[in-house]
Amino acid sequence: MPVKKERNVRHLLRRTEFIDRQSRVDELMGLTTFADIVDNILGTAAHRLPAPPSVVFQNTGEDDNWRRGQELAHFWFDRMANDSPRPMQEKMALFWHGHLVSEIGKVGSAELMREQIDLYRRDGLDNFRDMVTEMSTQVAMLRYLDNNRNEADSPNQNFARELMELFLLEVGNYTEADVEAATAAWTGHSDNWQTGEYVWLDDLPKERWTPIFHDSSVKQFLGQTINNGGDPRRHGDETIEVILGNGVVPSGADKVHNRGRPTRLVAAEFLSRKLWVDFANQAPPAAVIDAMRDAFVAADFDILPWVRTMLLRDEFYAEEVLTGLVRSPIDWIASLLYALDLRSKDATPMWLMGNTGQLILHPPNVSGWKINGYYVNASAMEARARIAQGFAWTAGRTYWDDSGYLQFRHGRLTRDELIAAGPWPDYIPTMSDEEVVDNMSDLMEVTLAAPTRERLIDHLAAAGRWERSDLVFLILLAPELHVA
Amino acid sequence: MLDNDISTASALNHLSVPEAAFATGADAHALDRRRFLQLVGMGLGAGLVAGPGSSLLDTAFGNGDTSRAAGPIGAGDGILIVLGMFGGNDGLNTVVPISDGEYYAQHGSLAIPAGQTLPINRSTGLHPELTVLKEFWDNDQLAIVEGIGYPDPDLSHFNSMAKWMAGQTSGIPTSGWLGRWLDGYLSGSKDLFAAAEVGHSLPLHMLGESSRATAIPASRPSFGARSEERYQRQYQTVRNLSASSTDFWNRQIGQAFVDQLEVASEIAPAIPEELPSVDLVARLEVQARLINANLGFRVLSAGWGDFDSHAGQPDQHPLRMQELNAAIRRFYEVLDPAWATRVTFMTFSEFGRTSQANDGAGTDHGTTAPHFVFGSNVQGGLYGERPTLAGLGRWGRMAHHVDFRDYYGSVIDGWLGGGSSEVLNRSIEDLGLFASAPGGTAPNGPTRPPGVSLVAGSNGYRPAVRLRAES
Repeated sequence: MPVKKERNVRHLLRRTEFIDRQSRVDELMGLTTFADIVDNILGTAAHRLPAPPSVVFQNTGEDDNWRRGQELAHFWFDRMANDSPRPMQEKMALFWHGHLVSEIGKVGSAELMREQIDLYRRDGLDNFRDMVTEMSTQVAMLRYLDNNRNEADSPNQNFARELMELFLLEVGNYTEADVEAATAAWTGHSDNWQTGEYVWLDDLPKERWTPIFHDSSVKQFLGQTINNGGDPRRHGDETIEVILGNGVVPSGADKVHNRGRPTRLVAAEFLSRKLWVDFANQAPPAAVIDAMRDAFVAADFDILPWVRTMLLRDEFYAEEVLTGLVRSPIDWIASLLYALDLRSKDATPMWLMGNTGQLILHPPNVSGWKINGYYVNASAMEARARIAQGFAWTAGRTYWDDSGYLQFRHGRLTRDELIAAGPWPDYIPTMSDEEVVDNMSDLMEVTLAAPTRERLIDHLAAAGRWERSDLVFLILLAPELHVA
Repeated sequence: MLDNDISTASALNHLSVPEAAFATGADAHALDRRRFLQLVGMGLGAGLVAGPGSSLLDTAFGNGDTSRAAGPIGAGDGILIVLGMFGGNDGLNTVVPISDGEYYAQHGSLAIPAGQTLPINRSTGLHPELTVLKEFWDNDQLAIVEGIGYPDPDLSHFNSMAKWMAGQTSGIPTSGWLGRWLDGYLSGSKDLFAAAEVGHSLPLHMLGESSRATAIPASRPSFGARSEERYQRQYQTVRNLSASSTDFWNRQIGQAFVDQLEVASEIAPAIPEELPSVDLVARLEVQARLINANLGFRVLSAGWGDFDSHAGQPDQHPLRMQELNAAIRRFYEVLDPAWATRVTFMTFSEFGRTSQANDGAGTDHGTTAPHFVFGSNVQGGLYGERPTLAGLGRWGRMAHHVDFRDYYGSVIDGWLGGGSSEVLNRSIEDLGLFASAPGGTAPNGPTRPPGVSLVAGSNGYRPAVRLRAES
């Protein structure tokens, strides 16, 4: 059991709630055991909250789809940063958004993306099998991986392949014959392009020459018989049930060491590595993966006990994990919105987010979000610097006008405090350089490393009082603000 | 830390920078005197002064945070531009087999009628959008290498792309093929201006064992390029902050901010505020301008997509071809003609597509595809062998005839000064793609591909690209 100490709790909060909010640190440090702390974050039965609210679009015109996409993105950022009483719900939804991927450009509808994201927000800690099954026939996914164009006479492997390769089982644990079988099982689903409604193609009125859209031929899939009678609409779901159930990695699979193993174990290991890499660091310890796999399978793929197992492992609090993750651009934005007490629509420059490597609702491809080194390079840092300048400018709008203050999470610093108190010509700043750095970081609820603090004080000493407000920007660029 | 096998997760990591790659960052090395003098001569020196301890002079003599070990480009140096087509390009609709009845039968409604292609011989037509490549062909400067692939092809985007980028088909890649070339070129020293990806992350092929390329934004960098004292003070503080921690990622992040300042101060003067709105076109303009600035770049890379046309290919693939054509055109409009004999382009993609089209007007993941090598020093013609389509059923896939390592090796040895056996860890079969060595036709002389206008933007290209919602 991890030790209940502030460093561990802060680490846990940064990885699960985006930010180690002081109020949460205080609250959680007051609980009895570390398990209580993890349970509080996860919202286990004792703390369970209602399903999170959904964004209500203000732009309702037919041509406003792009604006609705912006609304959804800003709504979600606000939830992560400021609005959610249980940010772990949003964190899990972001994880699933980066794993069970759709991209709003190809989906072509903010409403359909909202539906998918809301599923991840609502059920992101519930049962994985149920969530994946529901996700598979939501129109967002039907469109994103072309399963709305997958018909008996004209199969399309895109969804069936990625369902196995990227969502559930991982490449090398099945054969091309399994891809072809799964593709057949998933035939017959489609959508109405105009309304975005789901359509089962064989329900459409038929002419004599209309083909049957669903391929009902019996298939062998990972050692099990599927597509064998019953409701044809559920044939695709059977592939998920087999992978997370009684399937077996075939003898022709590329991963020799997995041949003959139950696919549910292989899937649980794959998903456990993915979760660890996203929450902890790039090096999942084998013992942890084994334990997570066992917990996931034992809970019949309930997500909460699986995540709980990870968060209660001592390894999650090892030094290499504490310092092992770069704050993704989305995480970083959430932390800025919190520190500067801003609403996303007033501050987040979506047009620059793509240059950071991570634009919400636009995963780069079906493999989803990346981590660490992907976001650390000269080009991505140029985007972060410009974003930080934008946030500092937004925060500073009230500084040079008659208002005369900078607003932070926990209060204001006034122009008088930073530059001059009293009437001209008696410009006497109230605060020393040290006080400015300390007060500003306190008000932002940001913890600066001692050398960072000293260098920022040096900056103020060299720059003079007229440039003291630049400190907002420089704090946002301090390397520790970019580590998760 | 990598997985024990090429799992999807590790393959994904390989497509950007694996953590291990950060551990080897070499320290500053002295700037080559030839290059130093050139930089000063170009008047870039003044803009580089970034406060105490990091002026150009300090950097030049090894006191700075980064350095430029390789110096400016040498008289016989070639520059390679690598274009990655992500998602699996439909090679059949790129280099169209216009005399092959199987193509028209299998590709169905997707097939391009012979009369619409840009014919290069009786059996071959280029995609109708590729007019600039047709000009290169007519000038005998376009090599089309047909049937490129590798044994036991992988149909996963990510595994296959990892193999292509790594330049190896088995084992766990820890570096990419051009990265390993860079290792040899820089001998382990650091140089931000020897190789670059124009984009926002660093793909595996640009990552070596001891050195890596620089990621450069596809826009004019604003942060780091101002000369006013207030900004210079900020830049210096950002540099100072970079050294404030010993934690691994803190240091990497700090160093990336410093690299960013170095890059911005050098390249901002060369990049205009306004760039073309189509992303790939903008990125190739940036590449041309980086070459014009003679900062020493030998390899420049850019990747784009989406080529994964499972459905609705007629609304997708022609746009990619349009973008490719417009980007090349723009590149040569911007490139100083004196540099034309130094530049060779090459394309790659993780695989091709199936020859059988589906009723959704799409194709599935394939195996092999043709690729282009072009530039003023390239020996135009058809290379390799065209895969047969005979007998291919719904899930049938074409056989490859040219190993992608031979493709790479021919470029390394023919254009980048050699080293294919070290880079690819095997001996290659040289395809003989080049008619002359870099600069050989007319050293720094004005050569320009025929038909390409000198006037920027004069072709009036306005692709009907359905840009995704700009955020």
